[in-house]
Amino acid sequence: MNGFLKNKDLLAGIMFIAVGLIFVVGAYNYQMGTAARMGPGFFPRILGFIMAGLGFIIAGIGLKNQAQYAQSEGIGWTWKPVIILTVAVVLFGITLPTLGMIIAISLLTFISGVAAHDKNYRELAFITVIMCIFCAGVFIWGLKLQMKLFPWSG
Amino acid sequence: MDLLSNLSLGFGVALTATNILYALIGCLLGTLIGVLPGIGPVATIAMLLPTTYALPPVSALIMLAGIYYGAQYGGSTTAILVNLPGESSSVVTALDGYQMARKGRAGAALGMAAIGSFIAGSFSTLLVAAFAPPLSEAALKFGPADYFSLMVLGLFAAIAMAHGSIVKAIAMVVLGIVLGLVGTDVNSGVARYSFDVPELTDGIGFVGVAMGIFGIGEILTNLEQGEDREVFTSKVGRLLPTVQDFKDSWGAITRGTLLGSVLGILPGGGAVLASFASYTLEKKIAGPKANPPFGQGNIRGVAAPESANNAGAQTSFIPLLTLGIPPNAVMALMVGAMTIHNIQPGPQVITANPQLFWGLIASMWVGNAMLVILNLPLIGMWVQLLKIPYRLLYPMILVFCAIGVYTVNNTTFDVWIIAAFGVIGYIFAKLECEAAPLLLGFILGPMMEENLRRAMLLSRGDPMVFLERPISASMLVLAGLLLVVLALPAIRKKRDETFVED
Repeated sequence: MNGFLKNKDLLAGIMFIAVGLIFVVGAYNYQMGTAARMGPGFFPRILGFIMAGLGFIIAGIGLKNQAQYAQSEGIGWTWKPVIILTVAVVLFGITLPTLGMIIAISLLTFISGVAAHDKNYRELAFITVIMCIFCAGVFIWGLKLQMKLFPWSG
Repeated sequence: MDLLSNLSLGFGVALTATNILYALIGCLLGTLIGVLPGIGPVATIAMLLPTTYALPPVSALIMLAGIYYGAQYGGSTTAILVNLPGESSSVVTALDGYQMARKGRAGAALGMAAIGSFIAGSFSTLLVAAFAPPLSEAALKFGPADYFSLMVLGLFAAIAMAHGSIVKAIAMVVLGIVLGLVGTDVNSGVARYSFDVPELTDGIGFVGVAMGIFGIGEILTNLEQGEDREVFTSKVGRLLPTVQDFKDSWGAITRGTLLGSVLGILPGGGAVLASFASYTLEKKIAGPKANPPFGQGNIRGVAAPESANNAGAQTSFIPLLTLGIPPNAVMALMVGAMTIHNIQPGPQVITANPQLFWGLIASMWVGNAMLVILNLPLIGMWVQLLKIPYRLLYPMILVFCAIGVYTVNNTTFDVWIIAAFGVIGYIFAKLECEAAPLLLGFILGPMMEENLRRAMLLSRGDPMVFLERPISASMLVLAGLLLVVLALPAIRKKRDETFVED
């Protein structure tokens, strides 16, 4: 089983099949219409089928080369930075309108910075302060964008 | 002469103090971000798009064009100094440019890149000015079927330019199209694939998708590779190339300019194809006697692709301005930017909004001049920037992406979009599915559906209309030929070799 997880083409193929079928199934909720008067479901359904078909071809190519993939080192996912950065960006989205820009930027810079393998907390703290000052200067005072700066500002 | 009066109208717009200032700021910001390793023009433009919202449309487009040229030149600087091309169009520049830098001639390489770019930019700007009006007129004859087929051709060309598997590239285009269809259908008012999320009824934000995949996705890929760069900071050397350099390069610049101008117009082409092709051409012409050999610091290997990619960058505005069809991902972003400013790109722009049209064209030249004036003295500053370690750089990039996308609609939903597409972009990269075709499909998708529907309505449901109209038929034949050629084993091998070089 592990050998199949190393197979980039097989995984990509499965991804396209799955997404294609989702769009095909979804398209049944919308009217197909006729060729002359296409409904909203027409184009997405056709494309969904095409995508799933291409997915089968890609997966097939992958299966053909399975022997090579089984010998390879694998795809080498590193999920840690992915999770850290995603959490950091999501937190930014939550805090920006509620707690204001300073807190949001501090959280984003600091948390995302932790994902580097050669991180240095002191540097990171420094950069966080710089970013807060810079962004406040550029976006709020310079470009006059409507954003909260501190939790207590209106 | 019409051309002259049009150009003077354009320069009248572009040379106002405010617009010069915006072109300057655009070039400066574009270079600033573009010089950062691992950030290409698409991510740069997406990131800087919000800075133009508050401007009037003409100024905004002028500034965006400046950002584009700046980003591209910044990419070349990084390619020469650190051998880390931030974008595919400067991949070939890195081959000889970096070797020149290692020999202590970074200055000459950077100088020649700037001068070559300027010459190419000036020529191709004239070309755009000369060809855009007749092409816009021709474009008015295009019916919906012709537009649809043209877009099919454009997407196939994008597939041809993608790295790696062709089938995957096609699948990515299709994925891009269906993602572009999410949201309210203009014809029926039905909210498609919105899963009752109110924000999704407006569709997935284009800026968010671009920033997620090309900004955050890139960072994730870079983070796992770790750092390995060597900056030649101490000895950039004199910036002005020697007389011998000019003698060596003028032919390369001329050929690069011509080739780049032609290739830039083609759908799917633009700067990337132009720089690859012109480098190969120079290598062929120079032959084995080249001294120093190509790949070991021959200045022609810098001058040719740099001229070509700038010429291509310029002329790729032609399909956008005349047909409203973006030929590559960068131009797709320009469509996004124009729509934000309520301009519908297409043949009508030139008559409905001549100020904007000619102002933009004139500002192309202004932008190119700005690059030379700006970059040669500021090289020292860009070098300093390259010294910032990536561990500090990427949190800053993230902040700009996140704030930038938030300001598009002032909604946190767009922040979720970049988070999601960051992960998706990482998965694509790991599965070797290139994202540029997806972006083009995403922009063209809704236009394609609209034109398909109209064409089929006009033909009363007869699909033969696509083959009966001569323009449409020839586009489809070209697209078909392209696919056949791509599938030929010999070409496939050659194509793989070309892309192995990066």
